[in-house]
Amino acid sequence: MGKFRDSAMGVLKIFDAWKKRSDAKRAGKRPKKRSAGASNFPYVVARVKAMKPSLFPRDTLAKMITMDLPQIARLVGESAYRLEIDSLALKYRGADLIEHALNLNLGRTLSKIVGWSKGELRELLEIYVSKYDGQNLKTVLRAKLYAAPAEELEWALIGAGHYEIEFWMRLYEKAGYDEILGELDKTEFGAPLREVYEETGTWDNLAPYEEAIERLYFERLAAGFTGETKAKEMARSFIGKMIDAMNLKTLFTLKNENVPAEDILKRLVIAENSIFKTEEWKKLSEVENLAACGEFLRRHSVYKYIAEGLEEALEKKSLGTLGRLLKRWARTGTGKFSYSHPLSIVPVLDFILQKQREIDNIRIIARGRELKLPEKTIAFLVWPE
Amino acid sequence: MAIDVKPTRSQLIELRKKIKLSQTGYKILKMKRDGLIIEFFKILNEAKSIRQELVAKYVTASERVGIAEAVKGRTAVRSAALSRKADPDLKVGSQNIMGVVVPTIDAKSIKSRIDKRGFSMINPSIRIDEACDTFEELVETIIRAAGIETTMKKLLDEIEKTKRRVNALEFKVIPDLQEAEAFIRLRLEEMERENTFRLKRIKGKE
Repeated sequence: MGKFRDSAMGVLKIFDAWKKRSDAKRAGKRPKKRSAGASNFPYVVARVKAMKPSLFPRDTLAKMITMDLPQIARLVGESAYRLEIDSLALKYRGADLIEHALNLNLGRTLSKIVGWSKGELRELLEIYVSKYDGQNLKTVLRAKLYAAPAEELEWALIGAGHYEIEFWMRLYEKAGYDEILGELDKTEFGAPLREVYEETGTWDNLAPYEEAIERLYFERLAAGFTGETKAKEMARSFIGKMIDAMNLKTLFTLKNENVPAEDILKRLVIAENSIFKTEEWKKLSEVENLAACGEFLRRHSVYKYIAEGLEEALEKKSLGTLGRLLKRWARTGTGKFSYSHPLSIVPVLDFILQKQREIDNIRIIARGRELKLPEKTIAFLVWPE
Repeated sequence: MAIDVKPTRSQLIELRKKIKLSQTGYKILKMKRDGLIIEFFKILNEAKSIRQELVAKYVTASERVGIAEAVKGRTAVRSAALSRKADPDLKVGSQNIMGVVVPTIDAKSIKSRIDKRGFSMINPSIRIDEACDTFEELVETIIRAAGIETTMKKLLDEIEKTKRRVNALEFKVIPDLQEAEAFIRLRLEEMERENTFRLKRIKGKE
């Protein structure tokens, strides 16, 4: 019933917008638009929903675990990834081919969705997918430090995000970091990286630069998803959880290695709608060790989701399961994304999340089969639904 | 063997000195060889255990990097690998085992604190960090194993060399000297008998 009501409300909204536009036209005025232009939710949502059936069903992924690598490549090559598999088949083989095809497809899909979007929706999606820009920029800076061959860099770049691979390659071909920084001044990365350079005065250690890139992404993400509508609240809650999960992962990783509290705190990105207040994050970073972290979290709702992972981390000193459970916690509630608020960013985000999950899962299976990992391990690594 | 020595008393004294020296050297070299063999067996056990440790760590590291590649993608792992430019800082010294100079390598500085690895600690990748940890341990073990195996190789070379010397002394040098000594002794005795006979003949003619 609620679903029907939402759809009906959506149709009414479209009609309302159309009526306003035609009234304005008749009066000889330009329709009133937001500064960034009006979003075209119905169109993008319809396009995205049409793409949804091309995602692999759960059963197929389960079957894929038992398949050999050539069988997986054939199955992937006969699906939505055909174009990418065909175009890269001459260059790569085996799991490398699958991974590159998946990355290329992700890049193309995200670009398509961003390309269809207008106004605020486009702005938000651009912020969301800019994580690949950050990842590519980090790779370029690392490759420059290491003086890696261009082919190696090209291998490690992902064709998703706002900037094309050619842009990153051009950046890499610059003579030094100063020239790279000069080029980056034209982008959103210029100011934060220049700030780090002025502070450190060296490019020998890239960690502060990488942290500035990551911080920029998460801060933009936290600041971007504001607004009063229920759909935005939903998206904001997801983004908040994602940032909290990232902070908890950072905290656990550093606590596991006994890194001092002040070094931990400066690496946390505290969003407005975080589950903890700044004071609580401070206290959490000051606790003695990982066990004390667990004790601190016991009274919070997140604990029940990650308790098993914390126990394993204390026992085996391995954070693998904990990371996986944090990821799962960050996605709690996203199950409703596909049907609630149909004319908002939420269904678009839902499709992007499902696409990313599918790509992660296929890559895990393909790499797992390539490395002859036991089926049990692969099944464990594959993303939980 | 053709004996090419002058059968003189001084030569005999010289030879006896040489035989004594050779026998002392033989005993010392034999003791050195036995000592080296004991040291070799001690290091052999250490080398065996470090080899096993190395293989086990290699298997774990391969598995962890495999999991990291599966979970984060080979692109992300390769990208992370590019951020480590610094070569490992090793302290190489030497120590003397029964006259054999063997290397000592300190590889403790390989393992770095997680936030000093050169890549971002905001949103870290647990799988890549774990792979990094195991590879750091693996490199440390490889360097330790290299030190121990070099020591073992040097000891083996030295044992072989000492064994050859002991054998040469035992089966060649000392027997030759003893033969030469016996020859001189016999020659001197014969010369003495010739002299006595010559003196008797001269006395008989008078």
